[in-house]
Amino acid sequence: MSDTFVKISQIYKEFYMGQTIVRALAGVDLELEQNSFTVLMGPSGSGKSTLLYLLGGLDRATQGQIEVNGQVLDELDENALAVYRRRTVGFIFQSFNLIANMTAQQNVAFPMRFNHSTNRLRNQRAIEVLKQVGLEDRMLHRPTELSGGQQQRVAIARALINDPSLILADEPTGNLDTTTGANIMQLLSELHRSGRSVLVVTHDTRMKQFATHHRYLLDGKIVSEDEYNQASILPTSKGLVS
Amino acid sequence: MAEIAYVEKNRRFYFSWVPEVLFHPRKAFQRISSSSHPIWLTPLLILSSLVLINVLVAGRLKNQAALMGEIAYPPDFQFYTPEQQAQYTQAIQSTQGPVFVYVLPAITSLLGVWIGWLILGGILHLVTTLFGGRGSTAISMNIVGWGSLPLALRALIQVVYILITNKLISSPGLSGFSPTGDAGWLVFVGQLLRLIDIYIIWQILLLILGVRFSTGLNTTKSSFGVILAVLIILLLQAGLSYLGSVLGNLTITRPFFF
Repeated sequence: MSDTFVKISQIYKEFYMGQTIVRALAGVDLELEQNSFTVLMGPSGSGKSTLLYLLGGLDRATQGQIEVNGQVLDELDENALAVYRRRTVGFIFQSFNLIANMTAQQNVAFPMRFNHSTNRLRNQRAIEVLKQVGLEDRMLHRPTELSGGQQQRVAIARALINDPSLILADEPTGNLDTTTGANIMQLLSELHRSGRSVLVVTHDTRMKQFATHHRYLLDGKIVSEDEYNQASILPTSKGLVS
Repeated sequence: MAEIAYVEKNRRFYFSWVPEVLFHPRKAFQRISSSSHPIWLTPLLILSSLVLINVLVAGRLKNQAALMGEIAYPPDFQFYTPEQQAQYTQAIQSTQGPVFVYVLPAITSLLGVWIGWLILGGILHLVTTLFGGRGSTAISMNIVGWGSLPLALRALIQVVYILITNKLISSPGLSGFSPTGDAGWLVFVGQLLRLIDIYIIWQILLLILGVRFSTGLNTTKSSFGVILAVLIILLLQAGLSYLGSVLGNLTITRPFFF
């Protein structure tokens, strides 16, 4: 029997676009087990990135509850939420989000700046995680001097710098070619094997082979694989504009 | 007595009074309160010079950081999208020229000193008159001018700190106790706490002494009047700083809209 690490209960998220309310999530229930590798599949606009940002503490839900390792995110104030983002979660973005005028090493060390750690410790740790992702020879390169795959590796190293227990990845292979994408998936799989819980949102079906669990999101709701496959033959997912 | 009056009429500067105001304030403020001549120029010149030096020293450090490409990034900068990161960096870089590093801080600092003195002097005179004080506006201006010397000492200590450590002062006053959050009133409280420190308390004590001697009010009324006047000035300053940070729009606290 495995422990529940993440428990998402009846999550709703609505955005205001002028006078219009856009419902991105419409009552999502989801549980992730400790040390699981979950792939959340869904078409564009299904709400998967929104769900990831809520889970990462980057945004707050309109309604519902998210519990990560016993911590209820809604109950955390801004300060505590920042600590949660820094300590518990490692975030990987499709567009890498590397800081352009920093070297790979400085980018990786960046989240540790706010941990009251010394420069020396930050640099040591950055070198350590860059080695882990196989980029020890690119530490002093700036993002523009790195390939897409290398930039994503730097982003992964940055996500690992504070040794988080939960890795969240938003379309991590979306901007990469097939081979590089497969390497990144392999790397994420290794992170899972090293004892971390990983949640990847993607519409890249190849990611499924690395995952221990598959979930499907459609029109802001978790659906079964059959429902998802049935809907996939339709041209677009249904809009949820009320 | 005639000799003192002669000295006051013919002297423009009273630099020799500075140590006495800081370290033997009772004697100094007895003398300041007895003079109806404008003797406020000396402390205001000292304060103005020191805030200008402070701006120059801090500006040199900011310039060095800008040349090295150093930018003070907010803690969650890695979560900004590449477009938001580029906008932020561009906005910061556009404020690294001499106008933003030297000219504007110098003007705002000097305006802060002189307008602050004028307003505080006016409010203090008004409040103490309402409480039954018998002082004149000229004496109030003198008291407020000389009572600002602790702020000059603060500027001097800040200059020395910056020169020794090569670091800017990022959390002045009680700003360490600032509540966190994006709400406007929380930002305002944060700005207010930045202004409160031991030098402000020192200034208040000097002003109380001066008001007591010049108006004949008792200690309670003098204290209440001074604290009220200083509080009004602090609230005004915090309000202006808050407006500046809102209008500057450089503090992106929650850029996450997906």
